[in-house]
Amino acid sequence: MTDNDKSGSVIKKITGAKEFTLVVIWAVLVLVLWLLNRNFLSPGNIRSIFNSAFVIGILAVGLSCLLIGGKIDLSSGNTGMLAGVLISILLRDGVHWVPAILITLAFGAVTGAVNAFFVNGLKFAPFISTLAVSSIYGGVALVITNSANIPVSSQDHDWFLALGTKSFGVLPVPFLIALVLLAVYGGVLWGTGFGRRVYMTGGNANAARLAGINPVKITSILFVNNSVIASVAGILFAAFMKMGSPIAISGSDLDGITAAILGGVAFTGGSGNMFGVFIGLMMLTSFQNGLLMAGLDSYYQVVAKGLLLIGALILDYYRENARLRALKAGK
Amino acid sequence: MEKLLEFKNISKAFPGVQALDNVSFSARGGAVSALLGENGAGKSTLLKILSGDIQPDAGSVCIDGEDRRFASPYQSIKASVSVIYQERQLLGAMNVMENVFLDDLHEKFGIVNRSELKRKTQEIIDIFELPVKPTDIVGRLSVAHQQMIEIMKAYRRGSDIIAFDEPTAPLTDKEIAILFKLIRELKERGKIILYVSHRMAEIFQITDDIIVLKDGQLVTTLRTSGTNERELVKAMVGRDIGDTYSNLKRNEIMGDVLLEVKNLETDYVHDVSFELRRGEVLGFAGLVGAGRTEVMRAVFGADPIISGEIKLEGKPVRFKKPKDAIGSGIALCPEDRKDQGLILGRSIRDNVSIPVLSKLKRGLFMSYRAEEALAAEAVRKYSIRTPSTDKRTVELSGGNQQKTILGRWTSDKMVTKVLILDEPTKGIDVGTKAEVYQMIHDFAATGIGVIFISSELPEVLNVSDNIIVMQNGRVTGRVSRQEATEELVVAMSMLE
Repeated sequence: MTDNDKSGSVIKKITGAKEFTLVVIWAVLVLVLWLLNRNFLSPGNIRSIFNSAFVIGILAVGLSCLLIGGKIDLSSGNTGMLAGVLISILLRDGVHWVPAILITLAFGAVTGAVNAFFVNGLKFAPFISTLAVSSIYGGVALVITNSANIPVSSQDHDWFLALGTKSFGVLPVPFLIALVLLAVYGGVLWGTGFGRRVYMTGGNANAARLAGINPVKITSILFVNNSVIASVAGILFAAFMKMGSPIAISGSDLDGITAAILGGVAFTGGSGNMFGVFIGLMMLTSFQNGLLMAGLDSYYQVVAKGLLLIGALILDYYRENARLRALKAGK
Repeated sequence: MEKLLEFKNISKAFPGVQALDNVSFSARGGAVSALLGENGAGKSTLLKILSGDIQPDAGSVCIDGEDRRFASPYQSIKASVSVIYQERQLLGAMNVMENVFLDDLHEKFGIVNRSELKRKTQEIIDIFELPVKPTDIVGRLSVAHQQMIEIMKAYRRGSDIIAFDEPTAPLTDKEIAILFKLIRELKERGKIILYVSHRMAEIFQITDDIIVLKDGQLVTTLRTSGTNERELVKAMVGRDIGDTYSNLKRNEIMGDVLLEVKNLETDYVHDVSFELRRGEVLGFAGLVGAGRTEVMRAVFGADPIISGEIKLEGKPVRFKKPKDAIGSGIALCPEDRKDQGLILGRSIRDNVSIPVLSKLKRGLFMSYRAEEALAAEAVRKYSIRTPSTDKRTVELSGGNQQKTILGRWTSDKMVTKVLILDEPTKGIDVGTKAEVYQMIHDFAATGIGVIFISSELPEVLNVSDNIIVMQNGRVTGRVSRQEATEELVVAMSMLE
């Protein structure tokens, strides 16, 4: 193989990657939205896109790992929401913000362990059992708050609130944390032995088990991890809003799954990466924001989400067909 | 007029296998015709062609002299053919009458006529003398009763041609007696009946003609009254063995006992004992479903063990999960490569490195270089045909997939002592098969004990040093390669 061929294949590798197509689509999307309203790329608006993206982005990190490992968790939105309520109550009752955060993260870990026990111990279908947990948490939040927001006082807890409200230039702290989580988990999935075991388990749990991987252990870790990450999202959202709301982010887990799927995570497990998830997240949030900026009613955001997903599925369909054709022609 | 079913010059190829090769025979009305042959002889393929499930590459099925080509099971049923498969095709959550009348629910203006259905189902149940009610949920019935309900479906259609694929396997003597009474009655009514079974005694009890198949070819057709067991076994075996085996460089050196299994008992196998020495190739012969795979899964920690003793290098072991077995040096290449062997969406490299991931780290992360070296070595050693180790395993041929799995278990990072190969040559071409046989003896030469499960008699007899024969979850014979003949092993795996 000559050097020429090699560099050609590297370019081909980049342009042939699923993520490259996504980046191009995202760039086109941004361009069109900017043409519709020049304020779309103003610093203020970029910051507001980031502010609308961090909860979804953080949830998407845990959910993507779980989806790649072949499982799903529909309770993470409400886990995050209840975590936000929990920490607001703790802060209101005078707990120092550091132990309050630790207690809330522990709540997340217990939730994840319960989900893992239902799925791996009792062999429940994750779709159903996590939906049940989600419903319970949604109700519990309403009961303990009496469906009222729990404010976090800015005099007593300025350090805590800074977590949600400070920003570096256009980068709000919570979004920065989302980026760090995306990068760290991206690295874990890409380069570590654990990451590899996650892909193998999601690709074919049966074969992975016979090759010496313990799928029960892997997916249990992923469930706990997902709920802890969901609590992080809830904590940051409470700091951002300066209150714990018993309804606010309860449906964000579906947005997180949407971002993951848009970014190329396979719903059937075994493939996807965090760079794709990041692009998926940005596509979703910039599209929603851009439509608003273009003067469309906010209800269209919901329609837009659906259209984006259908678009991603169509793209996937043609890509897979082209690949199969190439494979046949090669034989 | 007597009915007539003819198979004319039927050929059918699957990737790597000629399942049927120019097979012609006929079955007459008012008689029971047995289809007899080893695993892979082509019986199931013939039934699938008859039922319209698959289509032949060449040849035709004629009914009463008329050429029929069944493009789908629906057309076959319309032509009055019913095939009762071994795997029951029942809706477990529905009741008996809904299953029996699945394709004819007696609807009136779209509403199922339950009382009519109930009455008619009860009539059939009475004929079958079964202690079930039309409203019983099928999934809660015993396996034997489920099998009888499968037969009721065909009976209810009143088909002229009925094919049974091993119908008695799950039945008790009581139901078998009822079934045979029914078959005789159907015969009296002039139906054409095909009957696939491995049980010799049954064949002599119920059939009139016998069609013997071997390796996809018709061997002979016989009258049951004019033959005997010995003649049938002879007809099923005895074929040309090419140079494949004479060119094999065998490992001749055997060491001490490596693996010892004593009185192993699981849900599927009973009282299984055997010994494997270092450098030995121990073959496991038997019919599909004889329990060979299940023995190995239990030893490997993939299925639970009820009782029994396993010793590895003299030390008692009992593995709770495959990971533990692998840690002790046992490797298993499963029967179903695609479902249990490989992670198809991932590359050759990823598939080779799975069991040794922790040995390929550099700091926190996986070392790409170490992984690549491992996979490249497997590609080189087994001449896996691929442009790079990046290729997803779903895109490889069966032979190359098998070599990838072998590469996984025999890399220099593994300490494999016992290598279990479950049907390693299934669906791969003749040339690659010869390569696999040589690999098996090359492994043995390094002191590995190899367990070689195969349903192909010639290969298991010629490649193994010693052969264990299983039937119905039990060991029914042990022979050395020198003593083993096809006739002997077939007798051990089929005769009671």
